[in-house]
Amino acid sequence: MRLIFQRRPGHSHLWLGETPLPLDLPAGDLLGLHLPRLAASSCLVVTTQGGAARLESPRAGWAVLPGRALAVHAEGPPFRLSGGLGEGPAFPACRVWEAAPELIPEGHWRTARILGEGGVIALAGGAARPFLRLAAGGWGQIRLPALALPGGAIPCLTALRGPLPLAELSGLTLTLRAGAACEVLWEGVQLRPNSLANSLAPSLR
Amino acid sequence: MRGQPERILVVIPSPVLGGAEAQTLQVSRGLMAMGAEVAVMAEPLVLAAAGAALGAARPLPASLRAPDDLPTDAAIAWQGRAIQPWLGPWRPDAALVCCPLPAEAFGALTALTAAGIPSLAVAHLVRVDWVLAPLQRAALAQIRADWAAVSEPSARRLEALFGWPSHRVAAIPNGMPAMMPAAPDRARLGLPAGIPLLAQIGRLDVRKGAQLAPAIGAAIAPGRVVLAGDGPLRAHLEQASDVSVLGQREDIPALLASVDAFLLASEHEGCPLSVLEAARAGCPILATRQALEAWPEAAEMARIILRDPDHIAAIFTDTLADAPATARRVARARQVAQAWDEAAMIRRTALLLAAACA
Repeated sequence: MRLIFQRRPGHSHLWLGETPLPLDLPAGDLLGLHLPRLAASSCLVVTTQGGAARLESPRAGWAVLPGRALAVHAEGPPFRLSGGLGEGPAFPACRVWEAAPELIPEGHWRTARILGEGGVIALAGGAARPFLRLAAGGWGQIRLPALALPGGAIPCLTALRGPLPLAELSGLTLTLRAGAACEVLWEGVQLRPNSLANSLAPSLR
Repeated sequence: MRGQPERILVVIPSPVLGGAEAQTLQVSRGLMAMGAEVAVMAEPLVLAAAGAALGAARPLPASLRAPDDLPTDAAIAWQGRAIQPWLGPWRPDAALVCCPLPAEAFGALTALTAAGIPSLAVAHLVRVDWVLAPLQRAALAQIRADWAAVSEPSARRLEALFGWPSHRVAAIPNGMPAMMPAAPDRARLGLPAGIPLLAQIGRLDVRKGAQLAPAIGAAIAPGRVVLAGDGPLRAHLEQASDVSVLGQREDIPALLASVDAFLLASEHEGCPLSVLEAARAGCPILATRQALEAWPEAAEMARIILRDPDHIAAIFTDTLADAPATARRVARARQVAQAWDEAAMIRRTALLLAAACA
């Protein structure tokens, strides 16, 4: 994930309502918009090339949504977006990131359901990953929504602290069992070497 | 995303700009490239020495070093008071705290805890023979921060020092970006041609083994020991007949390309950047086991030396004579340095910072 465009938030703001506000921004894969205040009863909707991305009750600070953003509007009560530093309210503060091609799309990680202590973590617009903190003898589960993978998969895990727990992947549900206390990130999946999608065998025949 | 650190305070409580501080600034620049806003708090002299290494980070000069004659508790309180004024107007989402020595930032960490700012403290040098003074132990009990060290062995030693269970401390090994290959140029460096040269890069002090240079130089004559760096032993070493002292150098890749091997005879290290520089430059590495403790593959990537001039001289001679084995080690060292690079180090730090906020 690489930051390719940025307008820092200034002190001005613009009200975002139901009328779509076109965003003339470089093409990217992840958009960040800055809110000066929590918009508890509203929904931030970004129209993208592939449809729309929504964020309910966006908090103060950066709200990050996936997709190649074209326009933005509010659902529910209007709320404020920060204007760009030195550019005024006509140019909302924003960040655009470009994603490296990944087997599991970024947006998918961000909708992970996590059973246990943890969450989806990233720094600013960095690659987000499901994260679990496990006590010794504890277990946890991460569920991603259904996603068509081109073959069988094995999970790629990183331990931020402690040893890697036992991991079992069933569909896109990862179950972890820890012998010792640890903090684990689910980084991605590797297609099984014998799967058609990850093998040179067909081309060698 | 919610609860992610966007605004990061980097605290460097060091008196000088050395390897630990340079590594912290390297990470700061990486965090900024990922979209975070970063402010670096350090002594004015350290900020001035950092110069362009600060990148777009906001410099926050602060008097983080208490006078030497202050007792431990007063020194901790001094540092806490120095950081406090900045936690209001520029309130960070998280803090990355450089700890060249484990207890060097206890004051800052105490203030960050009191302000409720999630912090990641990174310990760089953790000696096995250190113990915490009772007042330091009392301060540690007040600190709420996540901790990391620059190697797995350092992390385990920090846990022992703090009396914590195993694996509470994370490891963030140092990483270097790929370097442009440099051409050998002894003439420009003022080094003699046609003789073997053994280079050491780093502070000229006893911990790094710089005092061994005159005896090593005598044992490998007509070869010479080349020292790049500064430190308390500099004046003494400049008198030695078989030693060349270059002082601080910016052109380390060219130096490494111009010598026959790199030497690091330290008695303690965390994860020395100079080893990674030598590995990236394809320079054969001669180092103590302690200097290489961060790398499990130490024996495959370097010749292990004792802190003994005759042993070092013998290993240097053998390294020059056995070219195939040396080439294998050089290739392995390069592979190891490439496998955990700067991006991996920055990414690990970013994830640990985010985990501290989770």
